[in-house]
Amino acid sequence: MLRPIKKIESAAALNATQKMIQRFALWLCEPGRSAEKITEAEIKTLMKTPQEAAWLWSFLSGKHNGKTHLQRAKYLAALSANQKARLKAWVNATTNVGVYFDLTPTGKQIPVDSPFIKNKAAKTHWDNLKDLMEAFYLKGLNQGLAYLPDGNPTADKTKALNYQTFRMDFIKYHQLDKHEFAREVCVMCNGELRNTSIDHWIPKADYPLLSVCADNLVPICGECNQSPNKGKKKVHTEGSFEDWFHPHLRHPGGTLIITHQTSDFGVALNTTRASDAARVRNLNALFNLEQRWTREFKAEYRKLYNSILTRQQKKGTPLSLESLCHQLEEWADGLNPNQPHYEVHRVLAETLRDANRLMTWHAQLIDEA
Amino acid sequence: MRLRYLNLKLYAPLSNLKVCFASDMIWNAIAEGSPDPCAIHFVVGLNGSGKSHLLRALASVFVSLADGRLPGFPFTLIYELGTADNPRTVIFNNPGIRSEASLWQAERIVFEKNVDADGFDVAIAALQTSEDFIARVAPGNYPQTVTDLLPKILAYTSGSWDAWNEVWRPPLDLAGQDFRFPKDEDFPFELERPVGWTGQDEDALDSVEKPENPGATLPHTYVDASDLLNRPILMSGSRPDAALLAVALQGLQTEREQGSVPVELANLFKKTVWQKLVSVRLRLNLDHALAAPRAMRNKIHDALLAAGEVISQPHPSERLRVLHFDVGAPLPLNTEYHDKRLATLTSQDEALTLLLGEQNQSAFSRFNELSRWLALGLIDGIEMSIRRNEKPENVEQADIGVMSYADLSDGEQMVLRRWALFHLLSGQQDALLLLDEPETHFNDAWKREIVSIIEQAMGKDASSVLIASHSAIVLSDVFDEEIIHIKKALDSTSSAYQVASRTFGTDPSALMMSLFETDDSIGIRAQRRIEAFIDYIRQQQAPTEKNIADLRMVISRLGTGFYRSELQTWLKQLQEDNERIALKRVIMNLDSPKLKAELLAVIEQKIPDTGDSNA
Repeated sequence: MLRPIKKIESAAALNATQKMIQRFALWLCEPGRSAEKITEAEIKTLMKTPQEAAWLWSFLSGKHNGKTHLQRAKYLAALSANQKARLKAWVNATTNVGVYFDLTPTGKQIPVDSPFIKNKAAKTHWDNLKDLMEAFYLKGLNQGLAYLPDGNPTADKTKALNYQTFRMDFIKYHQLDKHEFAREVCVMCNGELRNTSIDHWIPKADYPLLSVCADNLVPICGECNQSPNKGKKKVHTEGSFEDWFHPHLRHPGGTLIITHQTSDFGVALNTTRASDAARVRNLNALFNLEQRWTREFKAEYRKLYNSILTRQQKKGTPLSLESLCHQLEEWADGLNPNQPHYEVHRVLAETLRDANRLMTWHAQLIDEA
Repeated sequence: MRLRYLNLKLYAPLSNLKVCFASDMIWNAIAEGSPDPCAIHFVVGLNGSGKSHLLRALASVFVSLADGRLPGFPFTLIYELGTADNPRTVIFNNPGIRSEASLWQAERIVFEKNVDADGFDVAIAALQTSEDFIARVAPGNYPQTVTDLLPKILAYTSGSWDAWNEVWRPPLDLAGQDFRFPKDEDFPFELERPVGWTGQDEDALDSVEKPENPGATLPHTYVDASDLLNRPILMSGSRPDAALLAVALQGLQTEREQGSVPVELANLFKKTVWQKLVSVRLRLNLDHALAAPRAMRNKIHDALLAAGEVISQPHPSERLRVLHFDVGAPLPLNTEYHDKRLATLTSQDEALTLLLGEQNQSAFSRFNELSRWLALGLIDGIEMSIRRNEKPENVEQADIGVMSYADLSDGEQMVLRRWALFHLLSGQQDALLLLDEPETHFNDAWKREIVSIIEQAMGKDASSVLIASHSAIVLSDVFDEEIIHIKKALDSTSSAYQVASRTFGTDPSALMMSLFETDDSIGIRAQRRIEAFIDYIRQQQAPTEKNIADLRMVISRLGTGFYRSELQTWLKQLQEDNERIALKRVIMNLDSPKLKAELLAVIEQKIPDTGDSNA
């Protein structure tokens, strides 16, 4: 999160879908809604346009684990009035997450408990809800939403926004060097973007209604997204987001810095805003950034040292202090923000402006050559 | 042969593993001329992540295909056979039930280079309606013989063979044929053995008791069925030696025909003290030879006549002979060969070469012949003698140059055996070589060469090599696209990933940190000690004289590297007063490197390398 993360234009289609999901979920919770009252005709009256209605109806006919999504929707509609009232409140509280990220602390908390009354059937209720809502992401987004990237409904699946195009657009938008051969940079760790997967910042397993929320989706590198890094870790403390950054809703916006101290033997993640200390700690714990960046710091340190050594061994003359200064400056001048790990390399360059380190390197390089 | 896609739903600990084998390297950009058709893939991962399992799963699939069985796990495998101008794609799909297993082929059609796992899955789902693919074995008809779709497969591990032997274990219905009884018949009492007795004990007793009836049956059962034509070959037991012998004989033949050993082969031998093959000794079991099929018996007959020396070996129950073939020595005068061409040959090694295969045949087919002899028990040991120095010119001087191959060091024997595999497959099309950690026991210099040796030997063939490896050095020689990274998840299932960093031409210790996710390239013990020491000093408000002395001591004991440089820097920092710090900072902000260097040198009271001491 050293660099800005923006919502891209095609987020409009995600927003529209998010509205569709919320509308659909609340519609299921209506007291008068029963299993029989979930029909194609009813869906047509629910949705504003015929394209949306057609998409939703065909989506519901999809199967997952031997059960159609329509069966799941009917199951939820058939719940007791009490359960549905609770579910409705829960849906409202877990869809508009923006309210938890106000500048001044409001004390609002996202519900951490299940929307259903704790009993034997609660698990079945939850599984039906979760599978149905997650399918909007797993199947819906994968095969194409009901909307064009600009958010207008469409019946044409080839033009509709899908997983691939969203991911591609996002990556393209956030790259500084947009050339097709350029290495891509992960917006989270600033390392090379490989094995990209779309992260649900607030895990969709806990909050399935956020499965296609534009605010909740960030394509990041596989290393960031997988255990032991983010994985399925929580991004709130007991429902409170106060001590947490958020890539879209509470981006640190350039206040994060990487620092180095000789006696630390590595780099540390710090902030220029003292009040963010807890958030920085949590961010670091979420992605193990300090550890991963220190690894990169050491690896680049060694690469640079060895390349100077190799050059010198090929020349055959002893390394002069002047030449060392020159080579280090050349290297530092060549650093480029388009490249992965630019920030870590920048810190290394800064570190190497230290006279003591320079003398140490010089002595050792001469020794080794 | 090119692997394209493997989908393993469950082969513990691998689960839901989808591997797309990169089909074309960026080599194209770097290679001279047309790209090499040979594909090299690496499987890496921490111990226990399931690298060897991936190799064994592949072997299992092909062994089952050869035996007309199904392995006990569901999978989908896509591979290509043939050369680039006449390719053929094969899909072997096994959803887990025999009635649904099927095998498909498409002529002159290959999948696009950049198809991903989803793309392959879509193609597999659409097989039934595909126009390109025809069903060689339609669902419901499995098994049928489809040996023409089998690549030549060789597998080698530097670790335990047990798990591999398990994969190669022949189907029970073949192995147990002789020991099965009809269901209604009781197990005959006289076949019951006393506790602790094995079949071998019984055989030994039988042969001692009945010497007049020399073991008329061959040990050739399907118990080790690597010799079955077309079955994948497991390079266990004496087979690596057979491979080495076949390659060495091939070298000698090329030398006879073209005047010199091929340069790659010469380089291989140069790696050890091997200068020249002097003699070959085969240990022959006469009883088994007499019971062998006629053609085989004739060959053994010829071998006995053509050998320079045949020595009987004492054994209580078996008739053993050791056949010596001396390289370059003339054949004994004889006219009773079954193969009349032998009489026209000039040397014993030439005769051995001919016995193992016609002149124009490859090292691989000679190796096949040898391994058939091994499997039948005709020979049970191959020994070689080599020359490590030139023969002394002075006849009276002792000739210390000859030594037995078995006397080479373990590492040298292994490097010869393993590298011989590449040369064995050199020139073979459609081969798949599975190597499980071939770099163990090797020093770093040898590890560095593995990839280039494969490329030299097999680069021009349409074959594949799949290597499970731990070595960061080896990996710095390959592109990250060629690497399959197996990672274990918390629930101890493993999945395949692309490698997250660039590997080609990378410093191995940097690679070790990124690929194996270590925090440092030095040992844990060293890192812990150093960090504990640093913590201790850091806790002191102002470091004492003793701390400084300790620090200096530690530095003097450290090898060069990150920690030494950084500790040295820190030591300098600790010893400085504010005035010096400020001064140095000013100097470092100067623009001219020359001026900077000179001033620093003055401060450090050293004479700069350029310029004079008064600067």
